[in-house]
Amino acid sequence: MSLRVKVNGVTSFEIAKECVQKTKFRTDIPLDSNARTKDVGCTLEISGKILVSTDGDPFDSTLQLGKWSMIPAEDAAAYRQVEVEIINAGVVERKYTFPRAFVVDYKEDYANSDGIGQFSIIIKQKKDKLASVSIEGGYIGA
Amino acid sequence: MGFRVSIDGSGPVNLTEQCVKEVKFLSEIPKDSNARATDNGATLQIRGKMLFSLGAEKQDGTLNLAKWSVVPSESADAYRTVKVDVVAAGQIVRQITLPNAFVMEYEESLDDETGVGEFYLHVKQKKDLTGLTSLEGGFGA
Repeated sequence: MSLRVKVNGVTSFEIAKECVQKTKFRTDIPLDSNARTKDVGCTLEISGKILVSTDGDPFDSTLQLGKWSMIPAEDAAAYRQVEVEIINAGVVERKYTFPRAFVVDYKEDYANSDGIGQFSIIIKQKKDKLASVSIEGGYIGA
Repeated sequence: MGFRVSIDGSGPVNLTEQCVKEVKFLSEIPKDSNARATDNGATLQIRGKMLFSLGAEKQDGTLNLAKWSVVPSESADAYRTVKVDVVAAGQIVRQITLPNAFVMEYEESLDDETGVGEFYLHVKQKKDLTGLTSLEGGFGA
């Protein structure tokens, strides 16, 4: 199973499949609702390795995630398009598309024993644009 | 003991014993009530594996779960019938039906270690229709 993350916008970059270790898609719905509510949100949590770029290795794009997390709200670049693809045995099992995504949390952890760092990012679709979130899957592709 | 989950609607879901790991039925009654309350609810929490069919031969049922979780409240499709069968030794031990269920929580986790994903679905019967929830059991599968 390989997880591929693409971010498009003012600067486009891809987090290499060597880096991404875990993704989580979840809905944010108030747990005290009595019927289906309008207050629905969607969140993606992505975590993985910060790999050191040595001779000709994939470009360390996790730095771009860090830079994205620091962009102020008044800047149009705060919102970007995020695509996560889960590919298993030649089949795209899931493709989550968040066309108006913004960062709610970004973390980097380093320790002198690991040799590599760990990143974790939480992004959300702009809440009024929930209808444009798309979830697809189950087709052949790579 | 195995679980079969079926959900109707525009994207029907049929999950079998191979993929459902855990089912919880919860009656939601206020714990501070002094007498039997009318403020009762009924929820189901279902956890399982996302088993992807090799070569995309079979339709992946969990995909329709994910799509259901983002259906807006104004759509009639937000409410669906969820039926869970608890099967053991050729018998249906429990058959839990929520006829007007909506999604409260949905989560999919995938990582590069386990090879399969995991999902978590939390649905609730529309609260004014809690009386339509049915719990049956003790018949042949």
